[in-house]
Amino acid sequence: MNRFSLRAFGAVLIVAAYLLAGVAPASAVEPVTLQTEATKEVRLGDTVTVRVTARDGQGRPVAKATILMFSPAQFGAASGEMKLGQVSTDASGQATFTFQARRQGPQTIVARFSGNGKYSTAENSVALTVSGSGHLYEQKAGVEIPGLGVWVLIMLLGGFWSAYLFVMALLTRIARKGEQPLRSLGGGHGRE
Amino acid sequence: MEPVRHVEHFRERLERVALAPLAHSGWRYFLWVFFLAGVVGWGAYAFLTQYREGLIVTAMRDRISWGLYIALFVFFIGISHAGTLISAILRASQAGWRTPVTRIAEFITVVALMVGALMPLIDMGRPDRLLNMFFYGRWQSPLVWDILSITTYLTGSIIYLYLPMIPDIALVRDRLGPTASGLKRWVYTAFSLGWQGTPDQQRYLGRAITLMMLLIIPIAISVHTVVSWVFAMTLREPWDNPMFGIYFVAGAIFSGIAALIILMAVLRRIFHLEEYITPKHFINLGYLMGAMTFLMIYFNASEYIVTGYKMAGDEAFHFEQLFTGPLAPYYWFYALGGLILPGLLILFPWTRNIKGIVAAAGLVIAGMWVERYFIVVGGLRVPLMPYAAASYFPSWVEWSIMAGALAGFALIISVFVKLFPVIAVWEVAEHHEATVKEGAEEKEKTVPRRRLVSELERSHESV
Repeated sequence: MNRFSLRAFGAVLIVAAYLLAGVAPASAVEPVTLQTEATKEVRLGDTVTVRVTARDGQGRPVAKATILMFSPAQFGAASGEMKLGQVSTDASGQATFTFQARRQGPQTIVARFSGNGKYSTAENSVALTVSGSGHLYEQKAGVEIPGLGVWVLIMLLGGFWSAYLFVMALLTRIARKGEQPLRSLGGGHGRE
Repeated sequence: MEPVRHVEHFRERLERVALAPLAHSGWRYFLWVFFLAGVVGWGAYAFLTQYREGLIVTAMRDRISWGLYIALFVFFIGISHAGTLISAILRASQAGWRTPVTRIAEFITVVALMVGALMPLIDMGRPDRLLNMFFYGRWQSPLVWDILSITTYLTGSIIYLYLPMIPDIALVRDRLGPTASGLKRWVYTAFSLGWQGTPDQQRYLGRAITLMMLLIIPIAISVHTVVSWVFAMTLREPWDNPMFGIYFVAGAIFSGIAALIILMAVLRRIFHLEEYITPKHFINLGYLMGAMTFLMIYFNASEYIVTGYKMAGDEAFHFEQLFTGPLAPYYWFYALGGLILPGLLILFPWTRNIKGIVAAAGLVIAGMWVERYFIVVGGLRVPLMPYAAASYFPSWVEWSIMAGALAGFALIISVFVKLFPVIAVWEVAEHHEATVKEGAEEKEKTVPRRRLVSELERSHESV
């Protein structure tokens, strides 16, 4: 081996050492699996509880993992992930997330763990159906005065229009009292 | 015997003058009508363009979504108060001098309401969507209140215009010449309801007019209050104002009187009504307008001092745009030209004549139109979010539709004055008869009194 070959060999060793140093931590990240459970059939307005369990590759609970909860949603032409909230797993790798079912129809609730230096990312979802209809929220504006409502407006208008009808009745009386009969089209009686 | 002959002559002359416009129409009249019809046609073409292309042909956009049309709507509803309200108030207060001008005032009301009510439909771009107000309208919406109050007011105004016209329509029916067309004869006969002036008919008519007079005053006030609520019920800074209703009603009466004065002057000159519409009518209405001028100045001062002292929310932006910003020319024209100057013209005795009062009325009309414009546009210019204020200047389509609406207003009045007497003949004649009778009675009372005084003086001298 000449001097040049020794230098080349040394360089290869250094590069290999760098590569090994880079790969080694990656190979240390453990895979994580998420499990989600929820009641499949709920009513609109019910409080839904989603239980999330996070375990590593050996089935051991993953504690203090931050789980993002979201639901795919569409509004007009836009679609995306609607964030519902986030929870953190306890020592047993479990977290409970609750939310109010506010949208009627089938829904998917997704739990996502974004990973950290120790664990890889994971995601799981649960499908449920929300039945029922109606408004969950009704805005209360102003002060409610007993007995005061739309009927006041209707009565007021009714009063005015009844008075108009009374005037019409007076007009028919005027017409009846007239000595001049209504002349047909083409009739004539000019004074001049 | 002398007063009776005087009354008869007065009535004959009055009938001749009042019915003359119905009998003859010169070439100038037809030219005028043709011109107005042309402008209306141009406005209709502009509207068709808007209907075909959409509201994009206007200058209204997402931030300033109301403009000339809504300003014109408020303006027309305002001048509609000329008639019914003023006529009803004067009738209720038994102001005898009102009789020659009430018909003109009532014409203005009905025509202004008809034209004004079209403006929101034009503003919608799709007039057919008006039906949505009936299908999906909510009782809580000021827009629904607006529709209800305007339709009630229009119906009431038509009835209130028609009732005092019945004896005059009968008069026209009885004076129709042999050459009158059958259709004309039938229309006047039908609308006169067989009026013969019998005591029963007079009693029923009197009752109907009194009832409508009492009804129309609260209706007219409510209409303009409700129109103001379309703005004031929102949370926009300059509109969110409890004074708005009072402001709008006062402004409506103010511009209504001005419109009445102008139309009175025009019809007086064209139809030679100088004997009936006298300087006294102009001066009396001028006093009313003057009182309203100073009331409006007071309202303005009160509003701007109270809000300007606190300068809360977006008020600073609104003040800036109004007093020194892009709307300043409009505001200062209104304040100086539409309020102060007319007030001075009425205040000074040497300008308190027909010319001065008509000039003041013209300034008031222009000023009030400008005020409606900057209320609508200025309110929408105030940004509700951190974005730059939008600008607005009406497009040719909007100007054309406005010209068409104004011409339509003039056209309907021009046709109207050729169909019905512009002066309430029977009311003027009755008022004149009553005045003459009162004068005669006064004379009878004063003659014996004078005689008694002279006898007493004589006896006193002899003692």
